[in-house]
Amino acid sequence: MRFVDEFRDAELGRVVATEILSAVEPGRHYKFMEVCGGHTHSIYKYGIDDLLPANVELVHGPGCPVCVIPMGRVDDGIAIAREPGVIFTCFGDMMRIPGSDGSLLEAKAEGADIRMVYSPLDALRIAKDNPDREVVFFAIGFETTAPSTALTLKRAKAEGVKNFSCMCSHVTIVPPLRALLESPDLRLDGFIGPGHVATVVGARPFRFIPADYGKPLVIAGFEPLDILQAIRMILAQLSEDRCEIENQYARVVPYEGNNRALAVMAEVFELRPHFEWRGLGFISHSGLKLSDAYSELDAELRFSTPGIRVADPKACQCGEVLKGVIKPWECKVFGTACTPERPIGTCMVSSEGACAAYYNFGRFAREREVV
Amino acid sequence: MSCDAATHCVTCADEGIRMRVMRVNHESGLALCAADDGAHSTVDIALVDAVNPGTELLVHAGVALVTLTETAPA
Repeated sequence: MRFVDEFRDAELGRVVATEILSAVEPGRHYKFMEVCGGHTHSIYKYGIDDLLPANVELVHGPGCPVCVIPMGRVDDGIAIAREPGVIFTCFGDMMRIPGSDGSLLEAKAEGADIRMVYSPLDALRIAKDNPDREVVFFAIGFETTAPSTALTLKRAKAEGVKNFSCMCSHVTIVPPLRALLESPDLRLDGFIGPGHVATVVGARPFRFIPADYGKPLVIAGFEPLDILQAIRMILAQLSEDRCEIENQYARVVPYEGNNRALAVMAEVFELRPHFEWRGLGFISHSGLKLSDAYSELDAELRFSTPGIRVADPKACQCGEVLKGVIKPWECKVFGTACTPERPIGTCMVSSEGACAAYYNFGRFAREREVV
Repeated sequence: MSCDAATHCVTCADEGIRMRVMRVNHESGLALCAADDGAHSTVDIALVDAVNPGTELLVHAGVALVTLTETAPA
């Protein structure tokens, strides 16, 4: 398969791993954060951790879209789903995220009409097919999925679909990165930048990381060789005393991003003053809501929701995992009370969540040797 | 879409999927696309240029974000 097979070449992978080994300074510990959950998934799936020297540590960042949704937000969704006549639609992984009183999947089992969709366009189609029902789409995700929601809302408005609305929980990637960089808990040496978010926003929004915090960032693709090459590029910057944004994923990511996507997002959304992130708390200007021009399609204005902040379960340490302070297996309930089948925390739900990725692929090889 | 046998259904919102365009309806701004596993779905192509049968797209949540044939491999 073009653009895939050549980036899974084992022999080339070993060559890059050898280059990484020769690029590290003995006695120095390197800590790199992969921002995107897609990278976390690939790292565990392909055993990239095992190819790295023991003094190169990968820290899993907050870039899994379902992992950062707080429990109170799930409760709000369930409250809307239980309204008479509502068809509530969401992505599959959202259905399994625990709220304070069960998940959307459990609410569905109890009789609420909750349907999994692959795109917001599917939700709009359901609305057109059911004109006597209210259809709500639970929108989540970073800048990769926000354009899809924005285009769907534009279509709904243009076509006059009155029984469609959106519960907008989209978030943006830059504010949590800034919050992490300000956190005293975490000392990082560089970032593996989110490749697909960058297809939309481009490289420019990440420039503050080298400029203000002196950390290199390499935008990377999701195949094993992409990630290894990105690590090699970060190490090269550190050894050459450079600190800049580099684009390893140039075959997909244009430096300026997708201006049409940014324009449609700017038309449909506006920044919330604050948005709660699971484990990270409230972060200013990090969440999106519908703009005034689209407020008639805002489910939070159409329905009443509890809107109550719910504390995470005491045993759950998703917050520390999301901040990269602890590894998934260091959580007290990892793999025992909390499993992908019965998740307590969000990180165990999505395949992009650090805990689920580690549970599925990495839990058998915790101790690494220097290669 | 299909399921990833090693984990579960690949419906996490941020899953980017490579798809090949089969048919284009320029009037509606939609294209029928096929994933590598053969699954078909309708994709919104409003955000990308020059979409024709055979074009490869990176698709997120039913919307094409970039045409992969525009740029050379890294």
